[in-house]
Amino acid sequence: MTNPSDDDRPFLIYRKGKVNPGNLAPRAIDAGRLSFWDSLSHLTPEGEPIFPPGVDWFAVDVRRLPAFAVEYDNSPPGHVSVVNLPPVVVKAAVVLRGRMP
Amino acid sequence: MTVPLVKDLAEIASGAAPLEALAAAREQLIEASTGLHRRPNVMRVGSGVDCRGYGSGSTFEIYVEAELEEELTVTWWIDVTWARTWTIEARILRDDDDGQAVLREFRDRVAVDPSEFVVELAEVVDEVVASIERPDALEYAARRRVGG
Repeated sequence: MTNPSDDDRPFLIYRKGKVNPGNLAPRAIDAGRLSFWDSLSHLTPEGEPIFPPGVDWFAVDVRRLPAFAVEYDNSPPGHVSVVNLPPVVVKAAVVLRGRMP
Repeated sequence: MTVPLVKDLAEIASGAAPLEALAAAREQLIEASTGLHRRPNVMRVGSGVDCRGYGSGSTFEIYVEAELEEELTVTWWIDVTWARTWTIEARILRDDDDGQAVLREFRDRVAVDPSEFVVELAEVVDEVVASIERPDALEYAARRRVGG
């Protein structure tokens, strides 16, 4: 698989929900990796939208985060991990919030 | 009594009334959050506010969150936005695999001026506090499956 260059990668990444600390910190089972997506249009393996109608979302500008903390792991496709950052750092990088129509 | 009325009108004219209302809302939610500490099964309780100028609009955010033993976090969230009108939205959310899903949406409120906003915000906060104080609030959130 060919990885896009850094310049080609979207600088906005998306996560479901609000921006309270509890939703900006990975759970223990997530091993320090907070789950994001590189667009709002991705589907689950079952074909359901990751961001279904009515769900709240927020976008983080990765340019506001340390580069070492952002992994475009693409597993599953479109998945991005933000690794080992305190919630307050992630919160400061939030630039958009919205709700799926 | 005329003195409080004059004071209220002066506050509204000065623009202080919405800020006073937001401060009062924050205090009410802090008070409600302290009760969560005493619930069984609660590991951590937090609350906070933020005022941000997102690309999607300026927002005042107030939240209370409770982390339960099974590493589930329940969040009570209030958004206040303002443009031509004031809008107040409140939600209860809980974790799911990709973030949070909504457990309950409170009725959205729209106010056309600061005095109406003060009244509407107080009503929303009362509803949210009542939901926090329900004895079964956390058990309901823990049992409820969402998004699947």
